[in-house]
Amino acid sequence: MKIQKYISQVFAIVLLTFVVSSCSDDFLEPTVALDKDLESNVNTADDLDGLILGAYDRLGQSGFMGRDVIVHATARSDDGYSTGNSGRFVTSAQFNYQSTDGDPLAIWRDGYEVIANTNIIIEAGIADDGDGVVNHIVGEAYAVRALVHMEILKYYGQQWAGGTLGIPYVDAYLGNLKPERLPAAAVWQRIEDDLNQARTLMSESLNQGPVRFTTWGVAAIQSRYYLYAGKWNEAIAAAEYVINSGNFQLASDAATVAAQFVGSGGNTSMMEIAYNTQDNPGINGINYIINSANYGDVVATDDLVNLFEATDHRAALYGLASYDATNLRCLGKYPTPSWDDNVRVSRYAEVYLNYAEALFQAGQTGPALTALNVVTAANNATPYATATLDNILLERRKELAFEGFRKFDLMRNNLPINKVHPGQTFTGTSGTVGDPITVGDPRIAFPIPESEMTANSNMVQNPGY
Amino acid sequence: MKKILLMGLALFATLSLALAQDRTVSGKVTSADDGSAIPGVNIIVKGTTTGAVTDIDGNYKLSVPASGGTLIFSFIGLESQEVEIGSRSVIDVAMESDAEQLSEVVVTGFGEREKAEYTGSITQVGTEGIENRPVNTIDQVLQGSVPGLQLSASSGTPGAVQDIRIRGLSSLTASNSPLFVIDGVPVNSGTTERGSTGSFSALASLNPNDIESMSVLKDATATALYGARGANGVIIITTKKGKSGKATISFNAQYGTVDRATDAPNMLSAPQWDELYYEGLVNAGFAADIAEAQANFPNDWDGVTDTDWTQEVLNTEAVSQTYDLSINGGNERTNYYASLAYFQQDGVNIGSNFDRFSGKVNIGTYVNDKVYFSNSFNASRGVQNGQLEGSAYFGSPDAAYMFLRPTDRPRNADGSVNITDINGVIWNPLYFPDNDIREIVQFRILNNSQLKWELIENLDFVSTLGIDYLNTEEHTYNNRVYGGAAPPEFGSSYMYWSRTLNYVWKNQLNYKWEINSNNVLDISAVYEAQKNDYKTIATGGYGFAADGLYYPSSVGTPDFTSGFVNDWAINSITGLLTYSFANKLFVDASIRSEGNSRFAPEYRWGTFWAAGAAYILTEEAFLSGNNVLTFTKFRGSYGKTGNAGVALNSYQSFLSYSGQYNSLPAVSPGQVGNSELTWENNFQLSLGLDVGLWDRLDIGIEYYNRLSTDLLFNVPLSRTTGFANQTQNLGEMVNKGWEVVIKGDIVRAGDFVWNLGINFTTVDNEVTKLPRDGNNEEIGIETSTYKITEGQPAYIWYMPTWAGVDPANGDALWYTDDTESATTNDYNAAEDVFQPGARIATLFGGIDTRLEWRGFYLTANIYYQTGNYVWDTWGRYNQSDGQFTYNIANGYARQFDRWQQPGDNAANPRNVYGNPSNSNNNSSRRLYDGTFLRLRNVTLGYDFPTEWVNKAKLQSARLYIMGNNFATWKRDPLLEFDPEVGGNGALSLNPGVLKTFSVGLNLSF
Repeated sequence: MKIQKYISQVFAIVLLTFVVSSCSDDFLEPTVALDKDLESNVNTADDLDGLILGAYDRLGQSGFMGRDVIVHATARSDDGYSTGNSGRFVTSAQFNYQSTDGDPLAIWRDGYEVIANTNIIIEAGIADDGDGVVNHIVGEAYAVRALVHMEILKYYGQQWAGGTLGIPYVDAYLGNLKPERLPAAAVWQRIEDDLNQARTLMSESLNQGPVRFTTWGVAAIQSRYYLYAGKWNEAIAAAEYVINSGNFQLASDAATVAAQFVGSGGNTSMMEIAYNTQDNPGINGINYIINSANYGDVVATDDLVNLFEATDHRAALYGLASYDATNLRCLGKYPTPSWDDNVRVSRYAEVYLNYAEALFQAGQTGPALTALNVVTAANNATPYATATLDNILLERRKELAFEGFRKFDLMRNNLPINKVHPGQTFTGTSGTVGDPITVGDPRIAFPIPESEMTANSNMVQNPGY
Repeated sequence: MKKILLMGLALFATLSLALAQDRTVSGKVTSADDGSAIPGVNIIVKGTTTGAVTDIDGNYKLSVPASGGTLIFSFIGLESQEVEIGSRSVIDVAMESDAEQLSEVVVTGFGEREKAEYTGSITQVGTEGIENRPVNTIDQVLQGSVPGLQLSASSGTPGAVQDIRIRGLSSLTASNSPLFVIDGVPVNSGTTERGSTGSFSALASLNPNDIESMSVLKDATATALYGARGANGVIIITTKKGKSGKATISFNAQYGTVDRATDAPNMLSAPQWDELYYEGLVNAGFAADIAEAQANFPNDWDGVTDTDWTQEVLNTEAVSQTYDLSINGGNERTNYYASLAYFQQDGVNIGSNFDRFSGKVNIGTYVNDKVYFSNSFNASRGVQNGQLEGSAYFGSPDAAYMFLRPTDRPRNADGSVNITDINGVIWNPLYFPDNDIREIVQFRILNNSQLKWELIENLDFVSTLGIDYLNTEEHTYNNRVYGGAAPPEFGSSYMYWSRTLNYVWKNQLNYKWEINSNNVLDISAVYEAQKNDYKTIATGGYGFAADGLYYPSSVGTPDFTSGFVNDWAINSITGLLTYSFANKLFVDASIRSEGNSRFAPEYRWGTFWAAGAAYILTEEAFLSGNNVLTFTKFRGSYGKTGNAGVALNSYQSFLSYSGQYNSLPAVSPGQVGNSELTWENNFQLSLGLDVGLWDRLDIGIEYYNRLSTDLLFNVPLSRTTGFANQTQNLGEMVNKGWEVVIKGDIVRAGDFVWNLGINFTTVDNEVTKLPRDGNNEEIGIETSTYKITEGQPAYIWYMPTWAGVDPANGDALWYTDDTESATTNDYNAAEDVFQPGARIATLFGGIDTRLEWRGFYLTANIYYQTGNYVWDTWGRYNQSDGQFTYNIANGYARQFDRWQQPGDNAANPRNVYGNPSNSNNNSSRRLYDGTFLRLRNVTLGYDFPTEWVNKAKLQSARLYIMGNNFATWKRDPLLEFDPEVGGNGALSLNPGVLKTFSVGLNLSF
């Protein structure tokens, strides 16, 4: 009897162990609370919509349009420089990067992250059911992919740094783990193709601007792109498509000139990255680096600020900040301390200036002057007597300062970055402090990030790094 | 799980509660040497679990079967005795000292084992190494005491997580932290805070005086029971149990002061800064001479202020205090231990402190002569008021003295904190302790219930259910006026709540098979299920309407909400076998099958195994009675363990839905995933020799060699993919070295005893294999400071070598390459080269000594390490030769020794305002020899004589003074900060290690 009892107890324990084992499959299945697997969750227009919003969200990261793409173009120009108040953008303004530095990684990293989103959309192969919605979203993805490649090319390509190499053009999600750099010319062509594809797929009736790409927003980027490509007639056509839509206008009195930079620019804006009080780059955004007592590193040169006539509405955008009696600043762009001003990817004024420049280059100096003086008139500035490249670039500088243009406007016109202020501490191309940096200087291109060099044995470093 | 619990309850209900017929035996145990009573002797009825422990007077009483039997008397350090009961009702015993000094008992994963018989590699630290130590996390007592174990304080903030490495680095990407087990149950040991810059260790919940012992399990045999959690070693914490006999009440009190263990960096004084400022302007070409610089670019120094910010942020009134009361006792069936404790410790910097209340109850009872039930319960509440740390946070006290100018005054004439006239970007840290809140409250309950049931003779069933509930509440508040949420934000507040519920259910069958007197087998089967369930919510925002409001409900702009859950689980079955032959040959073997939720279903289950053997040569007849060679044991083990310490769910390819755009949810690829992800495998060989000489000198030598294969490696991906890396099982690494322990009684002369122990460990770490890409190029990791590459230690420092200053022109110089045959003043022309060390020490150890004389005792414990190099991350700013010295940072005082004119042999280059020369870029100039030696603990105490104590109705009384981290010697005089810098080998602007000086009293009634 006793033995039997023991046997039953041992049996109970063995049974228990089996009971526990039998539920172990469930027991070992982890909870996944915030994510879904990629393979089975890209099926509908709504799924694509989520992904394109993800692309815009990533476009607004501080390593990309949220700060770096915009600010480096100022810090590395005659419009501004870094005081080093918080140590940021100093090395950039000195043209002194190493491949292991964090800044040259940021644009590369954050840019290609956006492209990953767009490629999932483009490759999803979801058929449009006739309402054009899917095609429109896929078109947006092409436009974003083109814009991002263009910005990465401008920073890392050798086109102004004495070489010919561009960047990898990534057109498939995880399609190539070791992509090679294409020649810059080939990258420009791919950008053009993607922008055209976007225009083909998108429908005016589905436009939801300006915080997403619209057909007009894509055309605005096209008008910019064709200036880089030297295709003047195409630039004119793209600009005219925007202008003739009648949907946009230039801010034209003191109040609206100031207001167009606060929050959303409304119909002065072609394309923006949306922020709000809860969703913004915070202290890593543009506001904090140009308009804050804490960072506030990047300030304006007197050379820029002195360009404005007293009557010019834009003159009020620059001056001394209440917290800093020393440095001139761009106070009127990205002014909101809660960091929720949308990033202006393209404003209507840029389209007008692209238009003027393309007309001038195409030999239509009369219409060019007219277009140029539309911008001066809106700002209550003295109209130009003639359309010259110098005048057009001068007006671009005044209109678009601190918006990510200056360095590249100089580069694409083969003009030097001049030292106009003691705060600019770069060494000139000649090797002398005080001399300009001229097109062909290898330092004009960022280094390919060291982590990319390590991970991708097909990658070629830029000269000088 | 509910089903499992129900089954467990049903099992309890089936227990037979019948009691056998018993009678009582009593007696007294004395020492055969001097006839004195011996308390605490363990007595059991052979073949049963019935037992008792002698009381303070050496008396015992216990129930024995009516039929009699055999009593076994045992006590550590004394020879066990077996006595036939026969018909006697009084049995007095005199016990002899055990000639075998090594015959101590160690706590292993399988329970207590005689150390002499154990084949695995274990180092145990007993109460004498733990009690009364004013440590805020219990693991800190292990530093220097355990060969093979390296511990470094990543932060001196009380309660912060310590970095522990056992026998080197096992992994590049997965965890390197050991598993902690409390009373048999694996528990959480890391940190669960979310919104704080510092850390709060789960181990801060334990009161050191509740700990009986800590065992460090190092080799494959010892850690086999823990499978893939044990690859980095296991630390078993055993809490105090009650001892049968009269209740003993103990009271401990300790009070002391807290200071920095090493001085803070020596920074430029105001006159030095002022002189360098004008000289820098002249050297940069802003002015022709000093006078012109002073006229055109005056700095705003008033000529008087000379602030030493290292002293301003120091908490000069910091104290450490602890009070605890415990009671223990029991009878032959039931024993209990209970305690209440309070511990409080200030950090070295203003505004940081920690306190803890804890309570503990351990109870065990024989339900009948077959069933023993025990429960261990621990509850604690710890509060840490931290500081900003880990980077150059603008309000951090440790950033303040590195970055604030000596020319700025800390306070205004009226005594208020100066917040209006501070240069640079860093805020005056004196404002925050009274105005901001950085609080973490950790509430923890550890409960562990165990049932031991002797099913039939020699077959035991043991069921253990452990629950670890860890609740972490964080609250940060930034004031409305100054600092992180100054206008226009007007204050901000964030709260985070997170809780981790970890439960483990372990069922074990143990069978002891005595084949004959020489051959004994112990066989066990263990089933274990563990689940860790994490849940968190958080909210916050900015904009308070008024002062005095601290919580997110009052903010004008809520800008943060978060809430999610995650979990992981482990299931395993383990078989264990122990064989002993004639008390001289021992074999341990184990095999374990383990399933882990961190991997895809197809790769979820793995098999681990280990085998070890030990042979005691001195048990052979020909060495019996040898007075010189009193003990010799050879042991060896080999086995396979795993490491699953990767991020949760890393095997899955994800879309992340956590983004938002234009107030709509935004979707992005979140994780590249790897469906083939599985464990790292660790193959460890351990060979040891333990020798005892003349009964007073013990030597232990051990060689270990651990090969880690299928390394969980975050293989860097081309960023063009949109991802930084993918976790893959690739690569191999080896850690090998020696552990040597020598300890002995140097003097044993009557009342005077002096013993000394020395231990050291060598670690030879090498990455032996890395993945290759399609072009057959190694995929390693290279940063601006370190490299992971084949043939080198992991994380070897890799940067240009500093070649000093050119006496001719004051230029910074670097060697062009590793031949060091040529120098250059162009940083970009200097190659990155391997520096002579990595972040992990290659030799470390400790020295322990104890002197006793007539109730007085003096103990000292020294820790030392060498072979590692530490990186001054922030020296870029503080040793910038003018680049940052005049706008955002102060400089080290040694910057004053700079080149001024041709021929100067200066330590630092020419001082130039905004210096663009790259002289402060990453190079060996900022890499320092990490060798140091630290007096961890020194204690002088006095045990009052028994006759005095008894007159005061006490059992014992002790008074002591104790210094912790009392002295530190650094080999590199240029190393400006504490040499204990955490696992990444770099200065992180954390508070340094604490130095305490305490007076304490222990009383027992």
